[in-house]
Amino acid sequence: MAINRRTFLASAALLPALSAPDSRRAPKYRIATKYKAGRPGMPGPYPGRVVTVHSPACIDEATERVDVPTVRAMIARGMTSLTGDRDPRDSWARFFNGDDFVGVKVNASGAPGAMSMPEVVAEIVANLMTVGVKATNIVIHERGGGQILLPHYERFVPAGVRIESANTWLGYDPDVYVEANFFGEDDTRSYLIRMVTDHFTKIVNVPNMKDHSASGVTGCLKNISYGEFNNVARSHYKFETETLTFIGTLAHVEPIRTRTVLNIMDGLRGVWHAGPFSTIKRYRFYPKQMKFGTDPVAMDRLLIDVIDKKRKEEGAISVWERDPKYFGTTQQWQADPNVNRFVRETGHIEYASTLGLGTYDLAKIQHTEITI
Amino acid sequence: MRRWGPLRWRRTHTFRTWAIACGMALAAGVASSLAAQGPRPAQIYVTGAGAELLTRGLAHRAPSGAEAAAFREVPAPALRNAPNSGYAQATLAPWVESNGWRFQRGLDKASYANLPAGAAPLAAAEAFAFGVDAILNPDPADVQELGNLLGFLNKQAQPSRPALANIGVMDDGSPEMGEVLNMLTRRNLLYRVVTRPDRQLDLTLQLGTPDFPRSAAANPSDLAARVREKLGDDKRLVRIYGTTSTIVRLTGDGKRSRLFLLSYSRNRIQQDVRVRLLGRFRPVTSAAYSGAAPEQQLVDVETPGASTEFTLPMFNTIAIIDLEPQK
Repeated sequence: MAINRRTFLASAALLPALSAPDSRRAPKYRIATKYKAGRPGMPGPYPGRVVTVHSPACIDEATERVDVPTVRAMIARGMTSLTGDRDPRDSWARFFNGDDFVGVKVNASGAPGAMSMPEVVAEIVANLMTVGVKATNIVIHERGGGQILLPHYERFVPAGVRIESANTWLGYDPDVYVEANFFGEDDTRSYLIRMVTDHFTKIVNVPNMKDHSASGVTGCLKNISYGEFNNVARSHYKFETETLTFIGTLAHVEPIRTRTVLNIMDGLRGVWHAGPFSTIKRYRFYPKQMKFGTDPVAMDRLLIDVIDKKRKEEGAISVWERDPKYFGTTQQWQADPNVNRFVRETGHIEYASTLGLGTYDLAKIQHTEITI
Repeated sequence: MRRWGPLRWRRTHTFRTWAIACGMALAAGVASSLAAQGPRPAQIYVTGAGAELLTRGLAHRAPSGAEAAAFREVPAPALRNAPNSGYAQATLAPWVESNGWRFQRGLDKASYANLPAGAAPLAAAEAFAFGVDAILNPDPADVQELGNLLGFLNKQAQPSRPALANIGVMDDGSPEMGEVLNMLTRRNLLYRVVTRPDRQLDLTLQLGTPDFPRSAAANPSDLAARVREKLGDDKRLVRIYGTTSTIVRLTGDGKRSRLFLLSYSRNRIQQDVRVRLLGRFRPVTSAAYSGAAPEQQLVDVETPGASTEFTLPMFNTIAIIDLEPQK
């Protein structure tokens, strides 16, 4: 792509606090990218629209075995309900075609206890191929090289489909990064993984339903931001974190914003406390649902309620709870769901809405729920 | 030494940025020419534990008697993770045990008498990068790799050039100021010790001034952060991205500069390190010690504005990049 870097380097793109739902000042961000939006990006063609498909049969809670035919049916219903088509192939064809090079952004950070289920990912890959995307032009990926290996996606997808990380393929794009100094750290840049910029024409975002000790919950927005950029842990290791603004800021950087055309949230299994990892089985739960949409904010807004409802059922403090009296050590937080280790920034989803990434107001979200 | 291979150059030259770059390169040259004589080429000596390196001509026999007494013992280079109390964390950055600040302070003969297994190659690289004569007492398990590394370093030996810096530090010799120097080294804030403020430098750290009250030395980390803030990141001669355990040294004489990168990470391997240099340079040669892995070249060399950036995909222990000012 012949681009004059200076022309498109958004070096002066300093994001103001806008209408941050928190009174704290947003950090000063400098965004460097040579990409401009080629078409409308997130929230995509269906802003404010979310389809949730429930199925009690999708996973066996005792064995955690996934029922593939049920997953297939859930994805078909979810996609057709989202687009209004009768044939799922028509729904997929609205987003993808044979010219595309598609990145499937999974979440394997909690694997094997919590992850984008291989059966779900395999079904997404099958649908992509149905509308003409070549197996060799599909890349299931994570940022971290160790994490992507744990689910063994290779056992579930056709030969030719690549399974990669930034450690195994291409590294990071030196021309696309977000620079900010949060807590005086020396490494102030977070670079986007290069397969996104150099190869992918489209991305399917496949997050899980998880509690997150710093960001409150982790869904579409965090999977496509912290999962595609490096050096992100620097935003959350002190009690007060910068996840409120950093997640949305990364998610709206081009070309991530334009290329992420579809979100399929895998809620067969989830984590209601001590996320985003899943080292303690008692905090796993089984929402037995999947959410479909192009609007990551609307989907994540509904995710908040899923996680919070489960926490209330378990007698745990809300994902909105920020009172310092609940703070404790990592060990206490792991042992007790009424302990926080960071100031939860569940408001990061509303903040992302102020960047134009989607609809946060529940009254404006068109939510369709289906049970099969 | 490998000549400069295929590069992925990005352009964008304007007269203004070219002029700024030339000015900075010239300024760096002037500053360096005014600096004290730069370090002479390092001589690496080994004790009997590394005797086989003598027969291979890779190191010198450790001196004895009065000559040996001139060498001061220094700790092994290492990396420690900060203790975690369990409550969130104070920092993500690991603690790097580097002798760079001691060398910057004037120690020019170092004795690495206690080197645990795995430490000798980095000790040799550290001494080489800072131009310090060093006696190494390697763990027997390290001798083979130390030999490989010394073979690599010997190929890179050149007449040394003065250290480049744009921060001056008036060192009172106190332990507190030693720790401040350590913090500056750790943050890759390039400094040199001066006896009086030098107008050629962008900033002078002198305790007892309004910018740096004497009490500030009580917290060396905060003081280093204050130096960084006063200088401004845009004026830093070198920035490193993608690592928290790499320490750099930059030398030059206005015609040619040499950048050393030292990896203090636990396995001494660094991946995807992005480097930003103030001023517009052309990398002439690069050499990265790679251990058993294939050697990798610099990629994505760019000159945005009045700076130069490039990525080193992978190196082990030490990388050396020679640069010329871009005309």
